[in-house]
Amino acid sequence: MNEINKNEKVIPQTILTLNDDFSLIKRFIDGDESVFKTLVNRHKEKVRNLIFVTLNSPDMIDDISQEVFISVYKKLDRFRFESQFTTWLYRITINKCRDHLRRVKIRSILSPFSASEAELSYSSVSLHDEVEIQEIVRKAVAQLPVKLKTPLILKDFEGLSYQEIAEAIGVEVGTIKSRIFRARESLKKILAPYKKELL
Amino acid sequence: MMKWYNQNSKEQLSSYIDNELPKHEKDFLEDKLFASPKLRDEVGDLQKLKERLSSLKRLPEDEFFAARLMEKIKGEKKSASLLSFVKKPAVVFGVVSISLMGILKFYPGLFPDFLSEQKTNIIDFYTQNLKPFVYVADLNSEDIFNFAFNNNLPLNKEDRQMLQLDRDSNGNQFVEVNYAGSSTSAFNLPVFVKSLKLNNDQKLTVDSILLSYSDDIASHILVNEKNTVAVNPSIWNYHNAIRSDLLSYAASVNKEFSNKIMPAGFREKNVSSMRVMSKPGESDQETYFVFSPDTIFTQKLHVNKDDLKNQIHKFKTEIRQHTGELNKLKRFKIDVKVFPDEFTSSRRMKVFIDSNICRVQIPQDIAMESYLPNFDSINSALDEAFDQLRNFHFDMRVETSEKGSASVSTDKKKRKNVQKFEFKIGDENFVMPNPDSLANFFRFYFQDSSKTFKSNDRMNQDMEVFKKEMEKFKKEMEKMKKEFQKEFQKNSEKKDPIEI
Repeated sequence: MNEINKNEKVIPQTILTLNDDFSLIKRFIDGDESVFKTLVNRHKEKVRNLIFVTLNSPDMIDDISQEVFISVYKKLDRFRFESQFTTWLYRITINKCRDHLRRVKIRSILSPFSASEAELSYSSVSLHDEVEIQEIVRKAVAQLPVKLKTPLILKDFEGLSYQEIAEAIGVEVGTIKSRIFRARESLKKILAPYKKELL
Repeated sequence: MMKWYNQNSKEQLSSYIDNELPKHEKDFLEDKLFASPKLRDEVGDLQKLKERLSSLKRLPEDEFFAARLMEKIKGEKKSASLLSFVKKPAVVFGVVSISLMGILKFYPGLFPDFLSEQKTNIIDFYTQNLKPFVYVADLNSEDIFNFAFNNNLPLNKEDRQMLQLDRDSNGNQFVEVNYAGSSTSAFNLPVFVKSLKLNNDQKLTVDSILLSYSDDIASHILVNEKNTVAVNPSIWNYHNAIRSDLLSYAASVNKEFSNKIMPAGFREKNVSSMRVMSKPGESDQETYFVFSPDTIFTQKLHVNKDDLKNQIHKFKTEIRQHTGELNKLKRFKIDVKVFPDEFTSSRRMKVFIDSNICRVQIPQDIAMESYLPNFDSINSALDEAFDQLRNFHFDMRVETSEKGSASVSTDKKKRKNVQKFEFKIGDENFVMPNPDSLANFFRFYFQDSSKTFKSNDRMNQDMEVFKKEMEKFKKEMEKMKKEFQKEFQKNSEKKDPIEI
């Protein structure tokens, strides 16, 4: 009987440890808004980096990150605890990035003289500096279509599983598998001039 | 299995490096990799690419991000608490309604004042810089004649913009601005002069009568550069007055004309003096119908007519002296005072607008007869006279044959089923489609006054020719009759008597 009681006491502690985000969210829903800051501090870098790699636009990182967390703040009381908080957070971030890209596209249509997206320069083939290589890869990723770029980043940069990516984006796992493959094929083509240095 | 592998091999490699293949597929692929260096190279490339992406440098941590975010959320919460109140439609509606009720209680004239102000603004805008019509077009005697007898006046000859005066089927007068009108009419000044057989002096007199109204008409139509046309409805009086004057003059110079076209009552009056209604516009009538591109409205405009006439006179003199110097026109200024709209606010107009027409029925309360000598008694007479004048003109055209014979077709076949009637006067052939039209044609010749007919020398001459022709024809017929009788007698003599 004592053993059973011991187990009952242990299980809730384990759940709290595994689903720390969930417990914070519950406290937030219960009225403790101060926990939101903890939640932000825990995930802000994921969000910021995902935005940075997706948009390749350092100027927009702060604004869009704030938009993401304000949206989380407003919708958190409707969180259903069916998937991980990070999956939900990534979905919001991806949507915000898409919105931004849509706005940029509309703006570029309306103002034909606006600066186009940075393209790779094939003139300097010899890359010695790691910083340069990073920049080339980042620009190559930026050239991918959003629907290919997002799953690839979530897989290779954020390390999510196909299942998690599928949940974050809202498509089937098979689709994610196919998109990641196509993204890599496209990326290989874009980076072909740098194959020696990169691959 | 082999087939499946070939189709998806590259995708399988991609999943393989992500460690997302099921165990049996992974084992199968690893066997293949072991056997194929090419596949191993490909996996190696994919692996390197994956490493490149995963090793992309992370952004340096932003320690103050959370603090900034919380500040922003705090700010948004404040404004949101205000907005949440506004977002509820019922609350907003209630607040707005109560506010409006409060405002209207203390300022009942708020909306009427606002509307009135807007109305005044529009009126001010469109009545600015109004100039007499003469500013854009100098009226000639033909224009004025057309105005009197064909009811139209060209406002802008190039753009075919016409002012039209007329009556509807109920006899209501209306003023119309027609944006694609035409002033062409069969009855015009040259026809009038020709019909009356006026000599040069008389023609000049007719011109002077017509032109004497030019300034009056010009002062009753005001225009500006905003395509506004302001028409004083008392212009109708000039329409009647000009007709009356011309008909009076025509009657004075051509008694025959007078007898033929003037209605009995009108004929008895002394119409010899010119300008029987010499000053029809001298009333206190200051209401103008304003046709603007946006709206039509009535407005009381005070125009100093004496000053205006002086300026028109001056302007015309300048134009004559400096032909083509259009800049002179810009110096033309008249003082048009726009009255407050109390006068117009209660007035309702009947307006008809088509793609090219803006028509306003003149309301009874500003119908010009109330300010002027009563035209009713002579309006119908004028209209009748005018109708007669049109017929008169038609008949006179027939009369133009200089010489020759008049003959009437006597074909018996044609008479039986009379479809048309052919005849000839002088050198001209006439074909009338039926006896009615023939009757109409001869109406002038055979209507009430035979004296008039006799007094017409040319007609007498024609009829004399016609008589002679008929006598000649009669003689020929008699001659033929005699010859026929002779022939008949000869034949009867030759025959043996019939024995019974």
